[in-house]
Amino acid sequence: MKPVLKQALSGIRRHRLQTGVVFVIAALAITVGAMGGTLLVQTSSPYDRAFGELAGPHLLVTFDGRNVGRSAVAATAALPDVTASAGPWATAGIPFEIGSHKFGLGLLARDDPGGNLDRVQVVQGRWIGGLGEIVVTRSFAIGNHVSIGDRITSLGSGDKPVLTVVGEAVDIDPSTNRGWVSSGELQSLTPKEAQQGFEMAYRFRSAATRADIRADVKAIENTLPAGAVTAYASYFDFKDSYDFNNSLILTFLLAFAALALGAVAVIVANVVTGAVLASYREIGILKAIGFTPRQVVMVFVIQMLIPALAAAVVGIPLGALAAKPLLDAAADAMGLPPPSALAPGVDAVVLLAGLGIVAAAAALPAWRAGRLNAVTAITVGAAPSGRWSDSLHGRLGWWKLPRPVAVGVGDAFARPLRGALTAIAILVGVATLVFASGLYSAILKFNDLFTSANYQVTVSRLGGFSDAATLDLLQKQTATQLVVGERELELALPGQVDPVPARIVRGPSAQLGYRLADGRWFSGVDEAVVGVVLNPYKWHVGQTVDVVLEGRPIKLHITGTCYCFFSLTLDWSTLVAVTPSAEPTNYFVQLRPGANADAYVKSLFLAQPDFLAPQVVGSGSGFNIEGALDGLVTALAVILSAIAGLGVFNTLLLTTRERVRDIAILRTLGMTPAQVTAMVITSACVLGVVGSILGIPAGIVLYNYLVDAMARVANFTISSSSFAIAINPLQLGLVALGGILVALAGAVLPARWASRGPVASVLNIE
Amino acid sequence: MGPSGSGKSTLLNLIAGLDRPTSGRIVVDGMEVAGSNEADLARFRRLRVGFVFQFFHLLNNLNVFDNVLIAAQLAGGPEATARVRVQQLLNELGVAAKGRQYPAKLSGGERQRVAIARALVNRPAVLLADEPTGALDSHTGEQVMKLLSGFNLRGQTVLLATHDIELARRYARRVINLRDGRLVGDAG
Repeated sequence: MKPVLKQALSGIRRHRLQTGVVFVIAALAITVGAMGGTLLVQTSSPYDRAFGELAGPHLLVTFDGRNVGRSAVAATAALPDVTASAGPWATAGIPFEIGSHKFGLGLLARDDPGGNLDRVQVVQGRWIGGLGEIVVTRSFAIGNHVSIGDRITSLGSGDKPVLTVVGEAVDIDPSTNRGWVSSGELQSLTPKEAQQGFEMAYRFRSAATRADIRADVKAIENTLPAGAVTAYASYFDFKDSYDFNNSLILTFLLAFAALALGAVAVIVANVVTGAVLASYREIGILKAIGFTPRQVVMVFVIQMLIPALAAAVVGIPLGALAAKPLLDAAADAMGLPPPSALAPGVDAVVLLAGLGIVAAAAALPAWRAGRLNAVTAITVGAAPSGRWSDSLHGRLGWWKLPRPVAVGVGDAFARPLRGALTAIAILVGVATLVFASGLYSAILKFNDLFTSANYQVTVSRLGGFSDAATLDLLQKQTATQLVVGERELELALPGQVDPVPARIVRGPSAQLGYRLADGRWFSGVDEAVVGVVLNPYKWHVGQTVDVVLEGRPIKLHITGTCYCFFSLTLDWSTLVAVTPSAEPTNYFVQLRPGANADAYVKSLFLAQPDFLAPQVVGSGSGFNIEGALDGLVTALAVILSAIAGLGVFNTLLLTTRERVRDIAILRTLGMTPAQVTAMVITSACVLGVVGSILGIPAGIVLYNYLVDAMARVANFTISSSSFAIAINPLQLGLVALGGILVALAGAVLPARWASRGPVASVLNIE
Repeated sequence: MGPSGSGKSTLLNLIAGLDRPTSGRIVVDGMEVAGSNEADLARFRRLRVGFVFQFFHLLNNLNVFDNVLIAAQLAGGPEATARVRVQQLLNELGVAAKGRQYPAKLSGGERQRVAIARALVNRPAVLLADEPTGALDSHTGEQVMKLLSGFNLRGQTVLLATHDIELARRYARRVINLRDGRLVGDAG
């Protein structure tokens, strides 16, 4: 073992540049690997992870304080099917202002964020320490630019108490405008006429289906006076919300992580294989002095593993650091606690996989060389094959290319395997970038399609304020152009356990401008539009489906498919035919051109601070998906370019070293330094062009395949063909040009060394 | 002429502009070699000198014809004329039949003939030959020397470095002796 180790260490010392290249490429690859692996693990099933970490409940129930007391609510914990519970916590909707910005918060009086169920996790600042302090949801703080230390004024009571924001927190409930105060605080903040209530969290023995949840709610309702339960939300509702709100960023992160891992594996294998292939001559010499084939393999494996191990020491922490902002951004977008970027299991797998790839990439060619006899290994290591250049040079002569260019073209594939592996490295980089930029454009387009509806304000009506009064108030605002009422209901399906969520709209809903993927908007009773997502039964245009609306069976005719996050949208006339007294609970307001949505919301607050909750559309989340994706695509482009560029550098370095004698001869024959540079640059250019040209169709195929696969996973009824135009030719051209430029950048130093190296000393040593 | 380490190869390398002198001047065919830049030296080597090495130094990935042709192509000029010149030299040196073969398939003598053809293809002012028979058996070495001598008799200046006194006596018109990098005799 000693001579093997000694030879490996001396190999590292002698090939410092080569070792340096392996170290840098392995470090970049392991960084991407650790980053990708961490993203892959920490962002998959975010809801399930958060549900576990926060001890999520099956059901959150809100009770009306006017109809039921705290002790009766607390007694529901003893129901036979309840396995765990938390609360009751007093709750109230309180209007606040900070500066000139007014907003409503659903407050919960809670002294302890912990417990065995429905825990609240403080992600910034601290928990409430006493009176005068408030903790708000992370998503609310981001969306409303509220920071720790800010002082917010309660408008609920006459003396307008002021609270200091001491923390930002997350829990399993994805709704945004919420906060926590101490139990002694809530009473003094609550308006006298406002609805007070309680909230309680439960887990049940049977909660596997929505039907189970409804049965559990029924059991609670049965023990309490009528009207005690005002609302409930189950873990299905939360999960649905997470799933379709976050499928975009998650699919991108997952696809990126998987691709990055594949790309770096190919590139590392290429570099290490190239380094060992270039050492055939040395392998022959080792065998000639008595090394066994196994020892030869060990020498090269150790020689490559040492820089790879050093690379892992640097790359794994760097990968975790690089993943952290993305994980935080994704968690912020979901209102979930940021997961740790330290994933020891992932790091161990990345370390083993990285070292395994390096060891295999070194061992295979070394094993092949170790089996050759010493003289053959020395001969094979000395000269590229002649047959290749025979046909190639013949053809190039026919094309009348300048001689240095022709020699450079031939050199690109003088060692076909090495040339092919380098071209593959560029191909993988280009294909990944084509895929990433395509998906990036598709996500932006997707985002655009789903946010195309043309209304600027939503208003939720709380109890105590009638539909007529609300409509009257909205119509009186001079900025109001159009009001569409909305109510969300669940439609039962005959023979199916899980109902389908539906949205029933009143007024000229067609004018809201939802984009249709297919068909037309509904025009009357018993017609509906189905969403392209959340369409579990794959309903299509022209189909008539049997549903149960408010207990009455009806037949719905599907007239169109729209880019909206709802299974079904139908006209108000359909609901009125079943329940004539039905009223909307939400209102979509389209403002006149030039009207200011913030000012509109403020004026509604002033007019009705307690029972209406107006909100500017899109103000609920401060997460900038474009910014996050921009950063991700840029990071991906930089890292893959660096890896591919170093791959080309490595190949040309090996080639120029191997051909140092030939280059010296050519210079003796009168090749100028510029011609030598042109020759080496031509080699790089050929590799870059081949990799880029093949990388583009490979990227498009990959894009179509993965987008289709993701669409299937997400239950989309649209295919990648809907996003085909997302990849524009200019983008493709730029990515291809980038691949070639990266190859050229990798060639600069080897070309310089080749054109300026010594001639006489090379030729006089034989 | 001189023993190993006397400076023969260094002198030829300096004349060809492959090495640079630490002091002094080198003028070849009226051109100041020592002070020229790399690009000028490359053009100088293309047109004014041809180099024959002890170990041939053919390009292994080119066939015989292309090994000679590449020097002509680097010098520029019509391709067709260059091809005719290459063919003529290969005929003259007796390796025309090997034109499609690669250096690895040739004998030492054949390789050196190809190297001579390559050195002469651009009609250089001076042919530099560094121990051209050093890697050949005596019979083959004799053939190579006869070829070089023949070119010399037809007007080609040949500057040949050797440590073989017998060779120098038989073929050289002028013998310059070197020892430890210094000129110690000039039997002009």
